[in-house]
This record gives sequence, C-alpha cells and structure tokens, in this order.
Amino acid sequence: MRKLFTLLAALVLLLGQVFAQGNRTINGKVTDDKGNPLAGVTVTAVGSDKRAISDEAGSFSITVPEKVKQLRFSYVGFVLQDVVITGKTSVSVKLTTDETSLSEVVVVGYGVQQKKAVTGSASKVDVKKFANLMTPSVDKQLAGRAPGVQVTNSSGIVNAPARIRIRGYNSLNQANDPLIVVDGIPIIAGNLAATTNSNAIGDINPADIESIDVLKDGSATAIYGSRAAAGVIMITTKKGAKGSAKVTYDGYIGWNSVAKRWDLLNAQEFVTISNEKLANAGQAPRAFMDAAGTNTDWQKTVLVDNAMVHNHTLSFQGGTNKTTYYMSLNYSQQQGSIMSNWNKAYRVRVNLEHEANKYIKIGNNITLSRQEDTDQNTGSNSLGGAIASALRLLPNVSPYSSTHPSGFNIRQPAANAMENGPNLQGVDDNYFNVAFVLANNKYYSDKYRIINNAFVEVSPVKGLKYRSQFSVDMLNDYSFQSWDPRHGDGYSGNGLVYNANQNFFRYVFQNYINYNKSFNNHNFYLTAGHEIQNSKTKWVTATGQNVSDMFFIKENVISGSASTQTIGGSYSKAGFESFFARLNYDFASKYFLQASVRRDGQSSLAPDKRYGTFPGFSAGWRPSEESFWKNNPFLGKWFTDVKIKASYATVGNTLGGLPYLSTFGAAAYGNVNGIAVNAIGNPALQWETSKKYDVGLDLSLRGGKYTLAIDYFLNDVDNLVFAVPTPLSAGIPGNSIQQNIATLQNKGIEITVGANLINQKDFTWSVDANFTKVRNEIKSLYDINGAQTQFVTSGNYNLIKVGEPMNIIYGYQSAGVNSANGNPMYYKADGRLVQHNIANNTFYYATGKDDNTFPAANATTMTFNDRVKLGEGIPTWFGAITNSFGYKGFSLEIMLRYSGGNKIMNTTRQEALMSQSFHNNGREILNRWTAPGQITEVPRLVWGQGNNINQNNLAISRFVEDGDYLRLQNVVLSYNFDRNKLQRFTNGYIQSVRVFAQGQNLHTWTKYSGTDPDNISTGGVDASVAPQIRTISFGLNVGF
Amino acid sequence: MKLRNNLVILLCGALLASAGCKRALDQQPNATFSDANAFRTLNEIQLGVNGAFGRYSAYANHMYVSALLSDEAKLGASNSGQGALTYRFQYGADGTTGGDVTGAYYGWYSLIDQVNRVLAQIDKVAINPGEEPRREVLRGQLLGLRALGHFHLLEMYADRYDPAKTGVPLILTSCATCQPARNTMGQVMAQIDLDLSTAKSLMPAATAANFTDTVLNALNITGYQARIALYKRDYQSAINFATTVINSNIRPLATGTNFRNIWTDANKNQEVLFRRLYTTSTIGGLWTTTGGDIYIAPSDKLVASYAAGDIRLQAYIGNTGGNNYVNKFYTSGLGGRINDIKAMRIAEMYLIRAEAYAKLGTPDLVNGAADLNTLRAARISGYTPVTYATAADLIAAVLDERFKELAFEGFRWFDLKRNNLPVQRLASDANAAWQSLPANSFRWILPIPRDEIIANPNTTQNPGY
Repeated sequence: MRKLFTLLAALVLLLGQVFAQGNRTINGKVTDDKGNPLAGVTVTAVGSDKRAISDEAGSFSITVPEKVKQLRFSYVGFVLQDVVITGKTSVSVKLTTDETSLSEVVVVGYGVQQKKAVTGSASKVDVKKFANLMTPSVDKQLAGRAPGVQVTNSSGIVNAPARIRIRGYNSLNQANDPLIVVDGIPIIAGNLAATTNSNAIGDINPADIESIDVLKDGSATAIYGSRAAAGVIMITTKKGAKGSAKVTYDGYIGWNSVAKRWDLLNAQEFVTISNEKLANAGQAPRAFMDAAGTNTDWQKTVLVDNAMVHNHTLSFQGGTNKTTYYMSLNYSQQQGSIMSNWNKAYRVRVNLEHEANKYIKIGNNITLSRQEDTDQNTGSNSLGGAIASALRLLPNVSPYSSTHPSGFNIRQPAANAMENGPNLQGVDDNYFNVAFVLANNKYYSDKYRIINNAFVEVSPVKGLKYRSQFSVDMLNDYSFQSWDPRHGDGYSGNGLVYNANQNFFRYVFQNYINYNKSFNNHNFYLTAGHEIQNSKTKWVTATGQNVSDMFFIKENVISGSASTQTIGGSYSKAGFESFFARLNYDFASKYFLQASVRRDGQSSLAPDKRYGTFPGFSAGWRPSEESFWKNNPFLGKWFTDVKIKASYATVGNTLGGLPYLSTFGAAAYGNVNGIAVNAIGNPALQWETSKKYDVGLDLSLRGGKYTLAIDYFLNDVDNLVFAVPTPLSAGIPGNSIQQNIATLQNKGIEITVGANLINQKDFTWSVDANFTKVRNEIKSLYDINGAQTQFVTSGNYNLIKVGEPMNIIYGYQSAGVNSANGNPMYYKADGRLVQHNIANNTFYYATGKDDNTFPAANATTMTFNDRVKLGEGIPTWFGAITNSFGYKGFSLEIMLRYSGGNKIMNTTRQEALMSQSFHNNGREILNRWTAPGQITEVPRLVWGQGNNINQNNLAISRFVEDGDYLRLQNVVLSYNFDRNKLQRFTNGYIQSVRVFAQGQNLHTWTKYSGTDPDNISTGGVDASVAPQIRTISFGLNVGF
Repeated sequence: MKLRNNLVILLCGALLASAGCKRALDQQPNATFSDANAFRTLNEIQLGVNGAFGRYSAYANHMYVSALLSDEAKLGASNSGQGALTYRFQYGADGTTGGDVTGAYYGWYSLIDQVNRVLAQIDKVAINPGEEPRREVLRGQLLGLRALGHFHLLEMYADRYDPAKTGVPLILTSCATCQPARNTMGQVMAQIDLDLSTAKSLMPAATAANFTDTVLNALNITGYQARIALYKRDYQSAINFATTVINSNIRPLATGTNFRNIWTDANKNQEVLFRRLYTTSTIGGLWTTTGGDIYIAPSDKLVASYAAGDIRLQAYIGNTGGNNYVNKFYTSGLGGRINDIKAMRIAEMYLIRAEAYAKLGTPDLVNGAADLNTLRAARISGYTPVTYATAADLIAAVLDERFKELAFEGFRWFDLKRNNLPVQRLASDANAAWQSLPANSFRWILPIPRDEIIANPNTTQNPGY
C-alpha cells in the first residue's frame, strides 16, 4: 500500500517535472543520528520558497528551481543542517540532536535564554526522568531533581501538595511557596478545596510538561519582583511540531501500598500492658481476651495494601507549515495511604499556534481539568482521626458486629462509643470506631479548572518580537461533607451535612517585547513590558445539623432536611500591576552582563506604599572562550567550558489580604446584626524584602563528559512581617500589629555533578548527583521600647530564636528512667538531675539515676527556663544521586535521595504509641520499667498519667529523633522496542513502543522510628500523619 | 521602520487597554467595612453599638472566675483539668496557668475599644431630621458599656475599693500602640460615674412600654449605679438607686414557673434587667458540655444551703446519675446550652438595698430585713418573715442570701472580696490544700496578664505574681 502510494507520488512529481521547465526534483531520506527515520522534517530549498515535509519513512521529495544549490533541513530538537545538492538527485541526511534547543535553553521570565548565557542561578529539571512515573501531580516528583530545591511530601495523603522550599525558608509567617508559572502565566496553586486536601498544580497533566526550570537566585527571579522571594518554578507545556501527526498513548497501571506501618501491640500484649497500667494506678484489671481470641489489626481497616492506581494519556501533535497543535486527553486515578483518600483527574489540553503571516503568530493554550478528591478526618488527636484512632483502638475488640444494624461495633443503646468487647471498659476518650467512620462519613470535593492563555506575537523586524497574552485561570470547587448521625463526629450534632462552593478567578494580561541586536560580537537582548493581574475569590457554605434522616446525608445538602442550619460566605479581590525590563549583553559569548528591574504595585498595601522597585544584576565570564585558554593544551582539552558568575538582586515577598486596613466585620449580637472591629491594619506595611547574593562556577570537562556546578548563595531577608504585641489594654484584635520588622538570613551551597562514565554503542552509564546545604538564621525579631525580643514560641514544640534557625525544637532534656522506681528523669537547665515522681506529680532533685527518695526539701519544678534546644526542625542538607544505565533497548534508572541535619519531634510516639490511657500502644512500650534495678528508657506505666509521664504537648528529648535518611526513591526499568522492526511488523502503524516497570519509595535507610522521616510539619513535628506510599507500576508508551 | 512605528502604536494601545490597572490596585474589602467607611449612617452606628453589646460576652468569664475561685462550685465529675489551676488558687499571669483569670482583661478592653471607635464616629455620620434622640440614646448606651467595662476590670484586677489605690488604665480613645499606665481606682471610678450619669441623661425615662432588657437603658443603668454605689461603700446612694429600680415595678420579682423559666429563656420578660443575648454560642457549656460532661459542678456547700421548699434548689441545681450539675443555663430552646447571660436581675436590687440599709452609719434593720423577707417570700414556699437584732446579723444574712440567689451569676467571689471575707470550702468540695483563700491573700487581686506586662512597659504587675 505504502509502496504504491510512494510510486504514485513519484509519478505525479515526475509529471510535474515534465511541465515545470527549469526545475528539478531531489529525493531523499532523513534519519536521526541512530539511523531512525524522521518524519515531519521541513525541507526548504535555500533561495526559493519551495518546501517539503518528510513522511513517516523519513522520505521526502522536493522540486526545486535549477538555481537552488542547497537544501535546508529543519526539525525541532535537531540541529539545522544545510546540504549541497549540486549535481545530485537524491540525498540522505542524518540530523543530529540539538542539545541546545531542548536542554540548553532556560525559560526565564518573559523569554528564554541560552543556558551558556545565564548568569543567574537557575536549574533545569530533567522532565524525562520522571515523565514515566505514576504520580498525581508534578510537584510530588520534584524532590531531589534540582539543587537548592527542597521538596517534602509530608504524608501519604495523595492530594496534599508537596511543600517546596527554594534555598530555605525566607519568611516567618508569610508564604514560603514558590511562584508557579505555566507558559508564562502565574497560576493559582495550593491546597484549596473546602473539605478535602487538594492540589491545584494537579490540574496540569505531568505528561503535558515539556520542561521545568527553577529560578533560584536574585538575578534570575528579579524579573518577578515582589513575588520572587521564594523562587519561581517555570513550567512549559508541549507544543506541536510541524510535520505529520504523531499519536502517543501513555498508560500506567500500578499498586499502592503503605511503605511502613506502625508496630502495634497484639491483643494479648495489649491485655498485659493495659492491666499493668491499671495495676500501677491501683485499679483492678479491665482488659481480657475473649474466647475467640479476637486480635484486630486496626491499621488494616484504615491503610491501603496493593490498591490499584492507573493513569492514561492520549496525545496528538503535529502541524502544517502554518499551524501546529498539541492536544492531550488524560484520566488518572490515584490512591493515598488511607483507604478513603483518593484523587481522580480528568485533564484535557490543547496548545495551538498559527502563523497568520510572516509577521504575526497567534496561539492559544487551554487546559480543562476536573479533579475529584476524597479524604477523611486527619486530625492528629481527633477522636475520629483515621490514624489517631487506628493507633489507639483496642486490638481485642472487633470493628464489626452482627447485632448493630450498621454492621459495625457500636454501643447500644445509642451512646457515642464502641462496645467494650471482653474488657470492663471501652477505649479511653471514646475514640470512634474508625472502620465505621471511614465507611460512613464522607469528605468529597469536585473541582473544575480552566486555564486559558491566548496570545499574539508580532515580529515586525528582525530581532524584535512583541507578545501580548491574556490568560484566565478559573478554579471552581464544589465540596461536600457528611457525618453519619449514628456514631462518630456526627453523633453529638445528630448528623451533619455541609456544602461549600468556592470560586477562584484570576486574569493576567501581559504585553512585552523581546528585542535582540548583534554586531561585531556585541549581543544585546532586551525584554520590557507590562503585566496586570486581577483576582477574585468568593465562597459560600451551607451547613445542616440535626439531620432528619440518614437518607439526607448522601450527596448534598437537601432543603429542609436539617433543623440547625448555618450559612457562610465571603468575597475578596486583589490586583497586581507591574512594569519590567531586562537587558542582557554579551561580548563574543565570553563576557555577560544582565540587569533587570521590576516595578510592582500591589492592592494589599496602602496607596502611598503600593509600588516597589526590585532591581537585579548579574555578570559572567567564560574564560574557556578566551584564546589563551583554548590554545592551552591542558586547559583547552580538559576544561571545555567554564563559566564564572555572580549576581545580586532585591526581590520581595507579597502580603495577602488588605493588611494595611483596619476593618469592621459582621459581629452579630445574638440574633441582632452588628459590626465590630476585627482587624487593625498598618498603613506603613510593605513587602518583605530579600537581598540575594550568588556566586557560581559551571564547569564542563572533556567536552561535556563531566559537568560540575557550584553555587554559593546568601540571602538577607529583612522587613519580615511580624505581629508585634500591643498592650492588651488597647483591646485590639489579636493584641498585635503587623510590622515590617524581623530579619533572617539563608546561606548555603549547591553542588551538582554529572558524569557520562560509559558511552559505548550498546552500553551507557551516567551519574548525576546534587547536594545542597542551607543554613537559616533568625537575625532579629522586634523590640518594645528598645528592649530586643530574643525569642517567641511557635506552637508547643518550636521556638523562633535570634541566632538560631527557624523552628528549633525546644523542650526538656530527658535523663532516662530512674532504675529504682521507674520515674522519668530530666536535666534542669543548670544541669541538675531531677526525677518526676509520677505518684504525686512533683519533680525532685535526684542524687543519681537510682535515687528513690523524695524529701520535701528536694522538691522543685520544671519551668519554661528549663527548656533547651533539642534540634533543628528543618533539614539542613539534602540531595540525590541518580545512576542511569542503557543496554541496547533497555534502560535502568536508579535514584537515591537523601536529607538530614534535622530532628523530628515524634508526637505520634509521645501521645499515641506510648499513651498511658486505656489505648493500644506501640511495641516500644514492652520495654517499660517493671522492677527495681532495671535499666530502660521507658518509664513505669501508670494508667491516666500520660500527660505527666510523656509530657504531652511539650517536646522532651526522649521523643526527639534523628531525621537523617537515605531513600531508594525510584527504580525505573524500561525497554524500547527496535523501531525498524516494529515498523516492519506493524506495517508502519506503530512507530515506537516502550514498556516500563517502576518502583517508587522502595526503601528508606533511617534511624527514625516513625513511619517516615518526611512526615513532618514545618516545625519538624510528626503528628500521626498518614504513612507514605510505595508504588509499583508498569507502563506502556506507544507512538502511532 | 513603518512597521516599527506601528508596533509602538500597538504597544501603547495595549497599555491603554490595561489602563484599568489603577483600578486593579484600588481594592477595598468586600466582606468587611474598612475603618474609613464603616460609619456613614446612623444605622451603621447602630450596628457598631450592637457589636459593642456583643462584647459584653466577657461577662461569661466574670461568672466563670467567680465560681471557680469561690465556694459556690467544685470540679465536676468529668473535669479533666478545666479551670483546675484556678480552682486550686494556682493561677499566674501566664496564659498557661492564668488563662481563666486573665482572659477578661482583654475581653473588657476590647469592649471599651469598640465603644471608643464608634464614639469617635457618632458625630460624623449624616443623620436625618428627627434622628437626634436616637443618636443620643446610642451614645448613652456606648458610654454605659464603657463604664461597665471599666467597672468589671476594677472588680477583678484592683484591690478592694480605695480611691487612692492602683486601678486599671482608663481608656477613652482608641489607640493601638499607646502604652497606658494604670490610673488610680478613684480616677477610674470618677469616669465610670460620669459615663453612667451622662448615659442616663441621654435616655428617656424607662417605662414598661419602652423597656428592653437586651440593651442598656435608664432603668438598668440605675441598677448598675446601685451596684457600683454598694461597691464603693456609698450606701445611701445605693439605697436611692435600688429604690428607683424597685419602685419602677417594670420587672418585679418572679415566682413559680416564671422564675424557673428565667434560666431556660422560655419566658424572657421575668425579673431580668439586663441580659447579654445569645443565639449561637453556648453559655451553659461553661459548667456542663453539650454532651453532658460536668466540668464545674455546684458545691455541696451551695446545695446544702437551700431550705426545703426553696424554689431555687430545683431551678439552680440539677442531678444526673448522682452528680449535681448547674441547672442555670442548662436547658435551652436553642439547644447546645445556648442561653442569655443574665447580667442583672431585680432580686439583686433588693439584696443591694438590704445590705446598704444594714451598712448605713445608722443601720436600718427594719427596712433591710423587709427587703430580705420580700425576696425570700418569693422564693421559699411557706416562708415566715424574720427580724435581725444586729447589723452584723443582717449583713451575714444578706451575704448568705446573695450566695443562694446569685450563684453562678458572677457575684460570690466579688462579694467575699468586697466584704473582706475569706473563701471557705467544704472538705467534700475541695482538697485541704485549696479549701480556703484567706482574706489577706494577694490572690484577691488577679494578675495583670503577662502579655500586657511584656507589651506595655508603663504598666505594673499586681503584687505576688
């Protein structure tokens, strides 16, 4: 068939040649450097307007005037090649991959730059490395992909956004999240749904992403001015390429399991431990085994095991001479580590570009997305919290019951508790039957997203491009929550139904020019423009309690079905206006200078404080381009490309809301409407400002066989917004006024190493590694009448202290357990040993770790002043090592990720696993002190004394653990079927087939005893969060 | 070149199109009033006054502290630490130990701040002809609330009344960053008296027709003047003010079901002179949660004090599963122990007058006993009037009656403080370590919150903390 077609085509062309006097036809074939045919290559006759496109076999045929002496072959991703055709009727052309165009260009704000010309600090994330991993959203895969970028997935909740920190924490209480820019437009990001976790970045299908660039230092980010302090992540989506259509199917199927569970007591151990707790509190035994030997693993009722997940993307791309398109359809279903936690995404993208004429290009990128999320009560201490209750519920009691109509073990008649089972009492605090709660309470969110970006590009003269783009980003969240009235959270209010409808709307209008001009090795590149952004947020909620019947709590609030009704809602707007300009100059690709400036106006500041100017500068030198270097046999051979760079910029961190205004809000007096002052503004407020310094060295050795990049950065952040206390007698809301007052500093080093160790025909091996170390230090807080405040507490466990990094863990230093009586022991701040006599809840100075005397004269207290620094809550070093192997069609990639320098306050262990109530426990409690002389770290058990024995709500070093780890993050094995054979066997219908086997989060080496050292809050606290997931998946890529 | 010119035009056009930029930056809040435009009409002043009445919610803390610190309460069967440090007289200035006793400090000042902010605007709003009287009533209510805020602060954070002693900062204008020193009790009291008398002068005389107990008016302001006169030991004034309120007969003593209904809000026109209206948040939850957990229970001493046939025993004390609970604010038609705070009742006027008669330079034991008998007759079935031989007897009887009548309404501890008496709890109510608080303890003056001390170098802490 194909041959017949070619024959016919040749015939037609032949006829054409007959009639077109003075023309001639050239036939040929285009392949890549491995000999695979390339379809869609544009073949142009240099000096005429004749064009042709290669077909799927790489063949082309072009009729050209006699005068034409050269053909030009151009194809996206390959080096442009001119071929002389004098005296030839056929040519075969091998195009080489153009490293520059794909990986050597950095997407900077409002334009792109050649990587060699970048003098700021920006990291390119190799999207291909995770393109084939099963993932709900791209943010979750960024960990370890770039130096300086710390990414924490702090739980196994599938729809919670990853926490991304670029070069450390830059703000004490404003946002620390980087700006996310997709195709030039800052998009709405965050965890926004009303009733579930959700991730707005998940609306971007990871398979649609062409490249990700992370802008880190001041110079690279300064073009984003007041929004750049936390760094910028530039995401560029795929475009179509001229040529015939390519259809690709990417499909993955996998199984998610909990990577590590807690090691809990079994029923028999629980009975022993519980009765010992009670006996030590002077109580008779209450825990017993039943005749059937019931031994419930409550974690099984909550955590997933081999839950199936899958993801399918069908994409089409191609184009004609004038128009290119990329279109994709996606369905993804992902599962978190808790059974009721899942995410389904349905995503469509169409990227279209059209050259209206040689001056004007128009285009439109649109994303349509729907995400469904479900969740559960995740409260770390909530009675209905999925993890909180799974850890505490009694293992000798069954979750199910044949007598209760619900099928679950619930006490009858109605009381919000479980049956005791064989025990004389139920679980203390009446933790809910989590199996019932997960089966009957519902947390659901249904979100629709439109991101549309329409643009026109005008290129009136050589080197000048004007681009105008208008984008709309709209996210609508329709959330639902219901609590069953029979048991659990909904019991006390006799059921609850809740709906929330939130609408986030933003438009961005950008107009800018790019202009470049070169003469005599002087190259100028200018970007200048204007941007305006306007956002609106509105939401409305309806809550019904005291629901007339369970029938009415299924899917939505139903009119008239609940007797206690509450409504809520609000509306807010915000605007930005910016002018920006950037000038790059280089001389002979040797010397580089960049200067940029952005002037930002922001609606959240007072009219006279609204505008700020944020300048940035950088310079670079490539000595390797100097002739002395090139001519030096040693330097020229070994140090192929060397760049030294330095930058400085001032950027800002925006404030949300309208913090300059004092406001009165609705404040009803009973059922009478009223207003009352609800916020005191500070009209002097401005941005938090970062002064960012960076020096760096980029090395390429032996022609790129080895690469090394080192950056040292220093970031002085001042004008940090801090709520400075006001006298209570002023009576103002919050008893504080926000001021630009505190200062902090981040400094650190980033190292990236790459090596192509083996590069043979059939076997390749390369290694990429990166390392980052960040030191954060609070420089000052605020003063009151000249008295400098040295610290403020942050929650129960953390302290913000001058001279220390943010969020140090602060508490009592444990001194083990008194071997004579099992009392916990501590050191006071002065180093003196004290024991906490649980019997009378009093601290006594102790002469040794076996002192069993309690003279009244030795009584003392442990106070705030006895708390000491127990560790830093935020990891200080992190990175990754990736080994990539290729053997014929096989490739294997192994990524190891590491992080550390931090301590973790394990409150899961403190409050749940070591609970002294009638709860289940972790197996660590089996090491408890039982007899005089016993040396152990676990104090004597006493029922009801958990707060005293474990010092709940306070950090003590017994529960502060090392957070260092090394993780086998990903292993990806793939096989690429031989292209030629494939095409032969399928008659050309199938162009390519790749199959994958992948594992994510396969193993973690750590001393941390919790489920995962990443399960931490920004303060380094692990509070009963969902364990991490391990994913094993298989994938298939087919190109048609 | 021509094209380049065209481009410049195009670019300018685009910039013009985005000339909405100025407007983009000029965002006003939509869910809240900005300070600048909160008050333009008298209706908005009314809203601000309503907001100020809302902040009388601080009185809930007044009730809670009085119960925890006195002999009218004990820790309930389900108490797991709620109020325990306070009950054991172990409170401090810190939020971790003194949250119960320091909370009202901010609470009353936030009421005062709201009042001062609205007062600052009240003369600036445009009003329609004929609205002046309404504006003056609103001004009077604001002044009255400010006086009450300062008065309750004195009760808590200053010594027994002595004009020369340290009071609290007197705040008459809103200022977020000021660092006010503490005024003397006399200075604060002078302003309280002025605010109350000015308030009353702006209001129409109370009648049965115009009386509303959810806001301040000429009648309940007179009632507060009586309470305050007793507080500062001006007994003749206390008698005069109380007499005015009693003789108005607008809210006479209630009996029977009407009396019991006061505590469930089932019948709102009984006895109450001033109430802080609640329709959503719980007040009864101070003592017993909606779920039935008894955190704070009536003391055995209180329960035993009621004679058989005393309607208050049923109305005030409930029992479930052998545990007594506070029946005031317990039952609510709105559910969730949502109940109005009864900040002033007519019964208190009889008790004020009885005590004042007994404390006059020349005690009037006949009239004093008569007031006590009137009240008791309304409460106890088959009550026989009694007479008193000495002023001390009458005073003791009045205080005992206040203990019984006003339990859990925010009086007991302040009555003991006012009369220089110790707290004495029964052994069945409290451990030995916290059975009594001697009259000379420093703890009668509650600590100024640590946050005030930190943020205000000009203030001073009370002794002992």
